[in-house]
Amino acid sequence: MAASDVAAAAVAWLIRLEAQTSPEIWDRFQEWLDADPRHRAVFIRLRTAWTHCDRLKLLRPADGRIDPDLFMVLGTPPRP
Amino acid sequence: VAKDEERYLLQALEFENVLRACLYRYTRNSADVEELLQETYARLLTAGAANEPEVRSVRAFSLTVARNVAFDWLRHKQIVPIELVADMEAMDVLDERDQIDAIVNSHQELALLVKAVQELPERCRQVFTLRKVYGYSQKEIAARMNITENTVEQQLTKAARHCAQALFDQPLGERHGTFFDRFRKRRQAHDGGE
Repeated sequence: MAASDVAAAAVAWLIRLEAQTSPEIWDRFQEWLDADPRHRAVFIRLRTAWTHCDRLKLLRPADGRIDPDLFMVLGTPPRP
Repeated sequence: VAKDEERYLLQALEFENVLRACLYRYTRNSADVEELLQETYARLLTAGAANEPEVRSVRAFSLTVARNVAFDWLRHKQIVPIELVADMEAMDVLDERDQIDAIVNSHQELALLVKAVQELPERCRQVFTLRKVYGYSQKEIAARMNITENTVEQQLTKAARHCAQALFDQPLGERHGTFFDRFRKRRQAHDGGE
């Protein structure tokens, strides 16, 4: 499996499992994970990044407003 | 996935850019770098699961693993690397520089993610925002935006890949991640210092 295919499969699993899971889906996922150590490694890399994005919850407006374009009003972050 | 097995891999993510630079020296081609990086990570995962004495410097170990992966690849392609010694000396310089660059703070890391999200196409960005800032489920996002759940899945997939690249594959000298610093501090506290 080419590197780009592994990466595509890993991210597809990550997002799919977030939406729905069942014992069958979970078994297929485990099968895929175990098929090649690269699968597991690439999946861990993506999962780490994705979990890390949860920190963006800090940006949630205090007034409870839901704004899908929130990031566009934040402006460009200053360069360190 | 057992957490402890992942420790070398998780630490190596913090200098993915250095590993990429190392691999690029041998391959001169980004598609091959991707291939060899995956193999490097796979070997780090295997090493983490092996019943071996703990590695003292994960950075040095990871670079050795990356070089071994590159050598195996070169051998397989029957290419004899001419500048091998020079390359390894150059890598040491790279190491030092990256260590200096790794002095960072939490605000900067958030800024890095914000920038990455701003770079996403409009719909992808909106789907991502509802998911990650507001915690909507994929189903709720589909209903709110009047798109299919399949589209939501596709957009999140795109966003996840982009964020992973932004976090781990930053150009050398532009690092400002810090989740890693916290990770390292936790580990040090746990290990009683390095």
